[in-house]
Amino acid sequence: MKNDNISYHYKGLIFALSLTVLFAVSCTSTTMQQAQLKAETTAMGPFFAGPNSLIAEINNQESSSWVEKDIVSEKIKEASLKSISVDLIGNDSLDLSMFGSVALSIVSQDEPMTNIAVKNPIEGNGTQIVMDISEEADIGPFLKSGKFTLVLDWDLLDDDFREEMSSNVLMNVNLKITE
Amino acid sequence: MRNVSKLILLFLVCITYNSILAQTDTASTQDEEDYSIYDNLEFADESAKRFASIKLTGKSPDKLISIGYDYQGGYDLNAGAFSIYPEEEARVTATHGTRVEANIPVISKNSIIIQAGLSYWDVNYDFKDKATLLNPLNQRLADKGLNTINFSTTVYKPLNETTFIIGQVSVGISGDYAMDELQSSKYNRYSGAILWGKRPSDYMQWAIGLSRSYRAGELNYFPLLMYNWTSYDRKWGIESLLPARGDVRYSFNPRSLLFFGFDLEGTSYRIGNDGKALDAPYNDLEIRRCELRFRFKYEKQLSGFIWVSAKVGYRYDYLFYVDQVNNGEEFFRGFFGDQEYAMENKLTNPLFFNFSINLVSP
Amino acid sequence: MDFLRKSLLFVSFLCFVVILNAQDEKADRLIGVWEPSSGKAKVKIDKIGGKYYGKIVWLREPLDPETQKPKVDKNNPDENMRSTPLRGYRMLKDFEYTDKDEWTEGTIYDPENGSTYNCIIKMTDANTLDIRGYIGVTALGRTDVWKRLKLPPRKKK
Repeated sequence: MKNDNISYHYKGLIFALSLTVLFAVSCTSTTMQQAQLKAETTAMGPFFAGPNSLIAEINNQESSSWVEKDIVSEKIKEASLKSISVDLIGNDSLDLSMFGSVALSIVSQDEPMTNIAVKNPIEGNGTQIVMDISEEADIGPFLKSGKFTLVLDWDLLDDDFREEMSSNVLMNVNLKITE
Repeated sequence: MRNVSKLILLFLVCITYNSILAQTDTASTQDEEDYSIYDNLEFADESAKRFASIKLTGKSPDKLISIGYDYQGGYDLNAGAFSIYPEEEARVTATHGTRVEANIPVISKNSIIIQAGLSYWDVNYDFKDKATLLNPLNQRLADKGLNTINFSTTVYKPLNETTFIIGQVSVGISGDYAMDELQSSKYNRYSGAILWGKRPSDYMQWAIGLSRSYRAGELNYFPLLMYNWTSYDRKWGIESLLPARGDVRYSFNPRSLLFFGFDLEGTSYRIGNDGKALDAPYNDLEIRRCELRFRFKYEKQLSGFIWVSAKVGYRYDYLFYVDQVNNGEEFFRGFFGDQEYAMENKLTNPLFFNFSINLVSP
Repeated sequence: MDFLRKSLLFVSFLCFVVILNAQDEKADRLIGVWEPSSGKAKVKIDKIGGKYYGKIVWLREPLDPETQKPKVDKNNPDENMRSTPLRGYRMLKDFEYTDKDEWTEGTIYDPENGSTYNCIIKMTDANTLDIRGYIGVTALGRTDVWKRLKLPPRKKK
């Protein structure tokens, strides 16, 4: 009789322990991180006055998309924009004074195209500009998918007959990563 | 085995080749985006034409479906003498009811739009001291109220870029019937309108026409004038279809609009009888009801395509007389006829309130 | 017999490739410049990442009457995006080709009021599109007919 009672209690203990382990495993912990994603958008010329689209296909599985960090896309739980800046590349006297505005959109195979940043008007000279970011756009699903396209629309003020135009897009993002 | 491997490899090459083709982005490989070329383009199909659009910049959105509630405050109803019954003054504490409307475009093209409409209004009369009412009209209103169902078809036909025609036909079933026992179709009332108009710009359209209508309470023919206009800064506007309605519009923004204007509402309601006071030879009586409502109206987007509308104003009784219409065979009096009414009733004028929730058209 | 079987397999693969190519060509018929019935804008449809997008390339009234500056998306529900220029704005987004000359799963944006609608594009002939924006179900919507515009020959550099 006593042995039956002990056996019964052991079974209960093992069951409780199993539940505890199961619960601990299912509750994953997350950490907040800031990270930078860099992409080079390009388009072939010639370019005419008006909006011209530069495109970058991003695969953030490749570590080279992330600056100084190794981010695994499947582990991204949430993501939000902190800031976006763009930098004109090229030494053919490309300057911000040539443009009226710039807008950035993001799209992937499974997510609708979303406008995420704009700068209008562009004032001053130089090659780098910080954009106004959308408060409502959710880039989490894009970064989680691992593959997306950035579309950068530069509004040229005058025709420009260069063969190619490129811009670097630097996105500072806040990430919630699962451990 | 080796040959099978070769075939599989070939298959994979073909699939990859097609994947590459599918992913070719025209946006990134275009070699020209000269925006100046878009200024003077012709249609690829030379037979294609441009047509005047039914839409106007800044105009309030068209309602596909509307569900609302209408409420009038208390007023006096002086029912005229009738048969053996003397006139009677009664107090109506409230007149209220639901209004449901639907206007669905069944055909929608550049060259023609055909819209099917259905509306249902019910009007309930709450009388003070209902049990003491003697006049059969007051009793009837207190017991049955009034219903109206209207079916309509509207056609918008643009003739070219600036000219258009609008036509509408409708049939109304109005009376004190219960919904499970509609009145005979011989009491249906038919209306129609035709307009010819111009749309000189995205900010203005006007039209003139003619209508056969019961809007003034009884059968009448009158001219129509449609005038819609929006100021260039889109703050102010006019939306009118005279004499049915007219509004001055102010836009706080495209999703919040304030109007001041009027509505002319009316139709002819057949009063049935149950073998009681309104018996032969008074089987077929019709209330000729018409109200002029001066009001403020506020429309606001609630979420997405759901808008709400609220009206508050003053209801002026234009007509509430009763005619005898034998066997439902309508006669024409117009503005100048001298046929006598069976009953001449008077209503004082209360404030009213109307609220509706609407699904608006893209 | 073995040779015949292999040949049949090979021919089947070729047919499959041809059909896939044909499907892409059919889908790409949407690409071009189109004019909505109102004539207020012209929209160029392109392909990005396998989906189709339409951007405004011309406006009948390019300037805002209040500011006298190029029109921007001032009715956008997202306040931070209200300075986005309308010329170049992608008002048609994310369309994918299905069979039956239709492109679905996309949306159309109306800059007049900042509203986005579900949308189906149907090509009724090579130069005509039925663009149906709707709310929830296609019955509750409106169809606009767009006509293809003829582009002039390309300029040389």
